[in-house]
Amino acid sequence: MSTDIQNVIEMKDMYKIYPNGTVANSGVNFCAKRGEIHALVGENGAGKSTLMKVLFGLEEKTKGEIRILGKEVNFKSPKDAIQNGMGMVHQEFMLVPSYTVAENIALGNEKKKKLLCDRRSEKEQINQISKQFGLAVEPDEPVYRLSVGAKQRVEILRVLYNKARIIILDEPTAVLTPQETDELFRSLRLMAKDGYTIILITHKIKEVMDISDAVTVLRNGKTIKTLKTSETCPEEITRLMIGRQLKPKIGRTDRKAEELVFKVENFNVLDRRGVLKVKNMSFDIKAGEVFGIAGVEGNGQSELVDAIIGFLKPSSGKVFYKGKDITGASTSDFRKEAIGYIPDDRNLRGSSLNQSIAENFVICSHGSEKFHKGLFLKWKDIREESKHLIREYEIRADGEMAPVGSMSGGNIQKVIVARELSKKPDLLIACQPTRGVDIASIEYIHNKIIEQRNEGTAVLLISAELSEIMGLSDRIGMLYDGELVAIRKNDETVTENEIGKYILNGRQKQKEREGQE
Amino acid sequence: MFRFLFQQVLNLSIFTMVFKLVAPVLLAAIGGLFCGKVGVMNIGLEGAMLVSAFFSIVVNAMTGNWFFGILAGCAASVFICLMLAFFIFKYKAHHIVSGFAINTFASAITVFLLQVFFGSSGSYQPAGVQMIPVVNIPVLENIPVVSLLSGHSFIVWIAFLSVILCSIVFYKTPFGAHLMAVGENVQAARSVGINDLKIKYVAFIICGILCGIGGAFLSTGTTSMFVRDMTAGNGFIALAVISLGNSKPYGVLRGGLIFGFANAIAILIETYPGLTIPSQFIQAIPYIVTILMLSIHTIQNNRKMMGPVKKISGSVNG
Amino acid sequence: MKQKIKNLNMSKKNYTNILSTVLSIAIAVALGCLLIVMVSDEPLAAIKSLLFQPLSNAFYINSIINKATPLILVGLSASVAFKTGLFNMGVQGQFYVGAFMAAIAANYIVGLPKVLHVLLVFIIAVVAGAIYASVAGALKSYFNINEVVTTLMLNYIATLVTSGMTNSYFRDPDSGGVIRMHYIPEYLELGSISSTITAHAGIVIAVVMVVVIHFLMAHSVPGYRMKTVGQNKVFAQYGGLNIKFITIFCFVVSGALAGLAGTIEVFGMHRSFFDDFAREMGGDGLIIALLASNNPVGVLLISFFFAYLKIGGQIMQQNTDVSRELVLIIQVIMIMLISSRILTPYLNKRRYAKEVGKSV
Repeated sequence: MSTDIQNVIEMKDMYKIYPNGTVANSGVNFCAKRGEIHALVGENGAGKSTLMKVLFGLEEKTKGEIRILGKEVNFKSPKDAIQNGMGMVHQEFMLVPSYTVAENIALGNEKKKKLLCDRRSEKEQINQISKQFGLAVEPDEPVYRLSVGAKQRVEILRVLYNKARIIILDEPTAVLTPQETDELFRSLRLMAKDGYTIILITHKIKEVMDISDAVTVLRNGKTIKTLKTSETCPEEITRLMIGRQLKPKIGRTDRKAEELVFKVENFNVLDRRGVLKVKNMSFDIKAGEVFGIAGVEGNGQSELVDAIIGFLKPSSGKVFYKGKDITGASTSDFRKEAIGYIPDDRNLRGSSLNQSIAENFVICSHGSEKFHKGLFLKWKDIREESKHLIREYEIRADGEMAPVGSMSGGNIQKVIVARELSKKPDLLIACQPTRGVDIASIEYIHNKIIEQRNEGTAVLLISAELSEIMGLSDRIGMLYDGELVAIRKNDETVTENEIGKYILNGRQKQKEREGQE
Repeated sequence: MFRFLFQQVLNLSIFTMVFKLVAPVLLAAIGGLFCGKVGVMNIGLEGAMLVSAFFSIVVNAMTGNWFFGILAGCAASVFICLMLAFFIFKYKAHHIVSGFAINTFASAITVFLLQVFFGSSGSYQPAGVQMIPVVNIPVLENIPVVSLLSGHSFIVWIAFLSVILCSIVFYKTPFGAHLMAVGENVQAARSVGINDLKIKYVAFIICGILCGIGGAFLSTGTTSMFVRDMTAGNGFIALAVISLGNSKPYGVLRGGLIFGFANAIAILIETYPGLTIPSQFIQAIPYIVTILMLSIHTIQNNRKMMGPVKKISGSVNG
Repeated sequence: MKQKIKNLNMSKKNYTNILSTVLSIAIAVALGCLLIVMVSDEPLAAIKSLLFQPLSNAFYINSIINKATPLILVGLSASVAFKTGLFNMGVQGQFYVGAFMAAIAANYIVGLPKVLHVLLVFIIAVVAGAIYASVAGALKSYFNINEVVTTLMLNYIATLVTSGMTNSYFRDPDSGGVIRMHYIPEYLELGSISSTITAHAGIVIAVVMVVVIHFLMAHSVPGYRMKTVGQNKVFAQYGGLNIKFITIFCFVVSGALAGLAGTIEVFGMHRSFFDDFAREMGGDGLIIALLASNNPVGVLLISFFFAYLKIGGQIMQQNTDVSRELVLIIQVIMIMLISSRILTPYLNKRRYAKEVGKSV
């Protein structure tokens, strides 16, 4: 690695160790050239995001050297980074929901006319940039009304508006449909041609091959290799990323699903802002069957589940559980049934981080005869049971009274899975059950779900990971914009492409409809 | 009795009273709104006003100048607010708890100083206080109805002006955009390089100044004395008024006026000759009205949220 | 039930908490003394009155016990709400409502057997406090109206309305310049514990309540639910807990305790309801709960400490030129030091450098 002036960014021997001792980066080297789309790949926890946060001044480096255009820098805050021509599009959007698109783009860098904001000239500039790179937005629309894709365009526009020449995108396609991904990539190419340097954090190898000029692979906080994309192949990148062979598919026993356990009929749900998020959805699940709902996040998954479990009220439609109408049941009534529910937000909804593992375990079951007598809880029994679950589910914890928040994400997720499965549920609702979890835990959780299915539980699996959906489901529902555009049996003939197309079809269908109007 | 009330409303004297009652609440509420917009419910408004009421009258009596009095009051109030901000932001103290503690502190320190310097444990009524002046507008004074605008304390005008200025600052200036962004999504604000801590402290300083003016008005505008705990919940009512106004400047104005009218009517009833209801019941009316208004308002708001379906504008270019 | 539910990790944390509380108290008292030195002409006498005289004779010690009794109860009241993640700023109002209703029921319910009367009076007062608190609870539950604002308003309403009632309708004509009701019948008064300990028996009730609340919060089903709601509301809802009910229930318990405090204060100390007779009570309750980290036993200890300071403050005010408001200032310094946990990091750094919570 020569100190070529062409290297817009150079990071040498970077170390980042968090105060709690977590080592995120240990000896990372990274270079990116002008006008280059550089992919930074690695598994969850490989240290990609941390590296970029350090580069952008959001985290302080422990050791190492950062050079921008050959000049050594040490950003203390994003402000320094922005002033040095950098911009970052975060995975979680950094937008103010009630502000308009223009206000969000200009935030922190408003144009002034005397003391006041000059919104008009801001808008002019936004429109100009938006045209140049094909990033269509409506400047006066409040951001909370935008789709996920539009929000991302707003983020990118903000970076361009702030005159960044180096742009970091953190997993930008995780929330996009294939169509939107294509649009994004088209815009990124235009930018690269214009001399922008683009760093793309991702773990999707297909994208790396599609768009990047160069790729740097991280594993366990270290740089494994930097390659020219044209000189490598997907298999090589995969091997470098994982360092071992991909795991085989999980085995499902053949089982004839008979008894209908769960049924949703003509379901419509408004979200809290009154936007229709679930549109006329119908599906059913039989005992011993996994029904997977595939779809990009933000297409109505959370509203569907919230309306089923009683966090939201559906505006119309019915839900049946074992033939019983449970539409609009309160969460407390719902949780009294033998239904397990693994929520997608494990830190807020799925667990109480300051409370002990035991206290987390009994949230649903403390009302049962087993755990209380009169007004009092049988702490001794609760602790016994907790110890048992910790052993059975191989949870790595400092005893059953340790606070849940002291454990790693994978172990917290196991606590949740253990709790929900210990109900011996007839229906299991699993939302993104393995998101942000280490590989060993993913495998473990997948096996547990299949085990349940083989024992006759009906499973509703909602996931954005196509491999998860395809590995576990008996039938797959394709979700787009709150609609199940297709339901199909999961057999050998299903491919990722096919599911992707169904999701894409949903979009085309809508376009056709709009065309007719 | 109703005729009596009606007459009072007709001859407009009630408005003078309303303005007088509303000014300190409005000032505190706008101050509290600045804190609210950066995400802190400032319980300490009460204490900030109280120290200002105390120090403004002390300095006023010493210098014989109302303006210096207000300045001293504001300085004390800003000090209190900054102390609160320091504990909340620097040491992550809980805002409700520390706000409450600040109020206790303000109450105790004023009585303590009263004792130490003036040897009194309840009230302080110095000679030589120059009251905050009343603005008489020469021409308007003589026109019916419009004369309403004349004869109010200087502070009343400042209070109403603060609403307008607040609205401009919030919605038209970069500072306002940054301020509200910090409150709504602090990560977003930080990610574009806004120094959120600085904004928060500035918000608390502004709050301190406004509470300071309000507190000075209580001791040197409407009366010329200091009584222990003389803010009597004005700061808390300001918090209710902020909720009533949906955390918007003009909403706060509306909420403040509702409270002012309730209070003015209560006072009028209290002075009604031959009344047999205990005066304390009538003094409780504004608080009851505030709770009722808050309930009605929140119920209405909740309804609105459940209202007609808005269509999502999915993708703008679609 | 004897089993300790704290593991090593937690007890270490508790230890740090207690240490930082004790240190904070020491610093606050030291600062208070510094203030005395600054303003007083007779600082040594003042400090002596404040810190040492309260233990100098039996009368003062009994006064401390009497002072601590209602403090324990209002402290418990506030802590129950804090524990559930709610701010009951209305302890003051609930205290007055309880005290007022106790005095009314004591004076105006006649012809009942004595034991029944005692019971009924207690029930009425406690229920009144609970109902008054549940107004804020219901508004919070059903309309999501901020309980801080409503309870603050309700304080003023309670103070004014009880004051108006006492002034106009229920005033004892023989009360002279003092605004109060009739003295309660003698058999309702809480007598002394013994001939040596002349403090009234309210302390027994208060200590019993400490135990009750401890068991409620640490070992009972409702306590577990309240704590869970306080820790993570979304999780509680997800787990199927009825948040609305728990919120109201919490206010009911909290209000009942405040009402009980009022009752005992009337029966044990004042023997009548006086207009606005305990204006610092609610605030003290909140501060005590906070200093005790909502731990019932902690509430007991801190209440005694506060009572001690208050008696010291009174003696100091009587004997020297320093007013008793100084005690309030000391309290505020304590609360600021503790709520902001200024000391904790230093203590932690020293003892458990490794144990800083892992980010999740």
